[in-house]
Amino acid sequence: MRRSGRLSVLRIVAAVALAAAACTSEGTRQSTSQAPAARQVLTVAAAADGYYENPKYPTIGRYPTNAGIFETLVRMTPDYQIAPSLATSWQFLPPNTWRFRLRTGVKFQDGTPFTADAVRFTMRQLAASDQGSYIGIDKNAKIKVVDDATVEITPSFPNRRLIEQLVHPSNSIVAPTSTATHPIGAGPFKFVSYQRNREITVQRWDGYWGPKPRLEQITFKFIPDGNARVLALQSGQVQASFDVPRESAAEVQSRSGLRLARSPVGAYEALYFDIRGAPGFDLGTDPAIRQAVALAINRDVIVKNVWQGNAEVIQTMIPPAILGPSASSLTGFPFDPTQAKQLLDQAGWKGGDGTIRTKGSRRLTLTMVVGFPNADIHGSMPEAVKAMLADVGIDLKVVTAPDENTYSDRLAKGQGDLFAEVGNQNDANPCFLPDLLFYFHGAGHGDYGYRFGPGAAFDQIIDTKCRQGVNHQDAQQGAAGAMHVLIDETRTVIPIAGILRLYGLTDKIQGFQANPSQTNQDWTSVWLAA
Amino acid sequence: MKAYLARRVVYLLPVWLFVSLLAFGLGRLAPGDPARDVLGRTTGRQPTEREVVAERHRLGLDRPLPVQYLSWLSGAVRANLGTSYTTGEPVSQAIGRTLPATLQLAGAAFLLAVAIGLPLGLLAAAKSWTWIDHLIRAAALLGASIPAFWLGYLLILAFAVRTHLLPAFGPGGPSHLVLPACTLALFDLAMLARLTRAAVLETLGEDYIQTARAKGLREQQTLVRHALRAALVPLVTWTGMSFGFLFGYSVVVETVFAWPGLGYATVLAVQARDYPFLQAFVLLMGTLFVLLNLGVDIAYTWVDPRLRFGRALAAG
Repeated sequence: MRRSGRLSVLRIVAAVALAAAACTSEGTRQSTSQAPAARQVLTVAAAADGYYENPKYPTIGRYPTNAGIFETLVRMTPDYQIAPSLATSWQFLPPNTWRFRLRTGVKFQDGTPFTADAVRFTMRQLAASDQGSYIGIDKNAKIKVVDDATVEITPSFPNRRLIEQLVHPSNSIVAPTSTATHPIGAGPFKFVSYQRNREITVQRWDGYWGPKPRLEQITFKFIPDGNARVLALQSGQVQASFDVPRESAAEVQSRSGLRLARSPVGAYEALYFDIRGAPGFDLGTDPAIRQAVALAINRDVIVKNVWQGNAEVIQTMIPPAILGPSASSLTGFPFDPTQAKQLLDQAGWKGGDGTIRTKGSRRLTLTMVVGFPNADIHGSMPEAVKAMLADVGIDLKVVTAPDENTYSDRLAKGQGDLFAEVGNQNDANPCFLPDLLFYFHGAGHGDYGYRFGPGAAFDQIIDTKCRQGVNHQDAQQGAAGAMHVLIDETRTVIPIAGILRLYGLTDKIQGFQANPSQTNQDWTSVWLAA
Repeated sequence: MKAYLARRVVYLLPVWLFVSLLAFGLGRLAPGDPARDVLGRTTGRQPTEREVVAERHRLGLDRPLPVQYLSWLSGAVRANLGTSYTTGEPVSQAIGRTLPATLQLAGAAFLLAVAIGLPLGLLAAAKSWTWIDHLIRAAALLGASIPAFWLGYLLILAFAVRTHLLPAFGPGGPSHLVLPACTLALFDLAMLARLTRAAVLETLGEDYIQTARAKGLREQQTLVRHALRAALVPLVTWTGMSFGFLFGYSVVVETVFAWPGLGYATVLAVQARDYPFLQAFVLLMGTLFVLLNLGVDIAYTWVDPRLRFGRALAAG
């Protein structure tokens, strides 16, 4: 390369460096103005797309990214209570019918009126798709239009929890003209366009019955990689980001012009003990081992170091807020490695002073399977737990499943002693997860209920207080009672952390309230400052 | 030549059958249950066992494997590749939607790799064992060693976050293509530079190169018209196959840059055990590589006239 060519390259590099320095100092000035921006257009970095456009299972606009197009009959508040939405009141008519009084004067985004017929249409669509069978909305359910503003729903089986389950976005009310690829609802934003794996755009709908959104338009960009979402936020290409990785939380918080919004606990990380394990994975059948493992784990250290403060120690395996005052009935367990060692000594497991315990010829080796919903989300928790268990003489073998399918396969086959999961609570039914995951009676050999269900005492609480509990408080007490059996008594489940939802925002975003349930995140109060 | 091409096209059929069987079998060897995965994604919760059994029936997964394979194959020959478990749309629509984005990215990366890698390799050969050669070889080694996702993050940080010169993610105008294409191109560019250097250096020792120089040809003309031309055969092989490999590398780049192409869709399909999509994808890749091979063979005859005349002599 000739000398003049070399100088040109150096000049270009210098210019780029200067521009970088200038842009770094200028590009992230903090907004101090509270006047609204002229254009109220927001771009949000959401996680992977995940919409399903088959006409039988349409989820575009509602789940996993709730774009505000639809509403449900009742909605869930950020503290997991039920509030009116498209229904203004509801009543349980024994033995198994729910009567809803509908909000009047509401229109769908195509201008057609919202009436009981639309509710019947939606429930029939749910039934035909099998999506509603879990809550009793299937071909045997009865949907009766009493009048334009009154509808009665009788699930196909006794379901006192229907009212709490209807808050989930998958049970949104759709207009009869809504299609899988052009969704029409009664929510504050109407559908504009959708490009798979790229974005969905919605616009403020001025005919909305409730407080009008201040934002004119929202575009949710699908960026599956968490680090890439943070970089997009830092570059200014988006103004908000879902699910900031915990490793980037401090960076977002400290960067000028950006802030981190944390919700209350909205998800949980827990270990489930297989208490009916096959040979080779049957150590979980011993209550002393389960108890010792629970006592040996220092959850404060995991919350501080693995979750970097973006989690809390909880005594439940669901967000405590959903249990209301009943949450205080759960005792949980302390970090007490001394007691853990004593329990193992008493159970005949010898060793433990820097060595792995043995009983006869068997080593105290547990297998932990990590991979739900993916292995990355657990970070270094498995290694931290491994070190903690080694301190009391337990060897932990960590098996990382490459994806959720492999994890589920190992679970179904019982190829593990401990299974590490992160779960979410997206409806208002306190009994949802305990009932779904741990009900034993009738569970098939590979089911969660078979692997982890404590059995009769737990099932009895689910059958009575949960499934037949008359009101929400009954359900909260039932869920707390079930958790007490699961966690405090049998140590089948070991809660590790209650996880906070992390949203990255630019300082221009105002009015944002971080919802612990991401699928219920509300954008109507959000606006952009100038 | 026509007979040769016709034979190669006919060979495609057994290749397709073999590839389709491989795709079908490999997918089902992986642990997991697509029915459970579909329900989890569409309902937003873990499904009950009753729901899973019903979904398996709906997807036809409770039929014997040979029946499943023949059913899919009979649809495939009529261009019906089934419905994607991941998105619920026809597989042909899913591939039709994502393929152009990957072709755009892979095409840009390919052109970049050739436009920069080839001249760099030629320069390194021309200035062999000088500091220019050492610099190019070191850079090529670095380029071939850097993981794509790490490079992608670095480029986003440098050009989008710090300097706001280019967009950080997603498709759009030509500026959106720059960073992902550069990320994808680097490995091929580095390998092409090294291959070109090695191939050209080998030909530079030949007698006809000495003759060309003795005749008074300028060094640049000697390099390009004689040395490079003779070195093209291995380079054509590499560049032909590398276009196919770019499809594979695009998986990581598409994920980092949120590029809605076939690579990223395939990642989702693998995670979800989306058998129809995966089978169609493997069939497509098999076809692509066969056609690329064919293209390379044809390119040989253009690059090396001895292959053309050799056949004519053998025939005549």
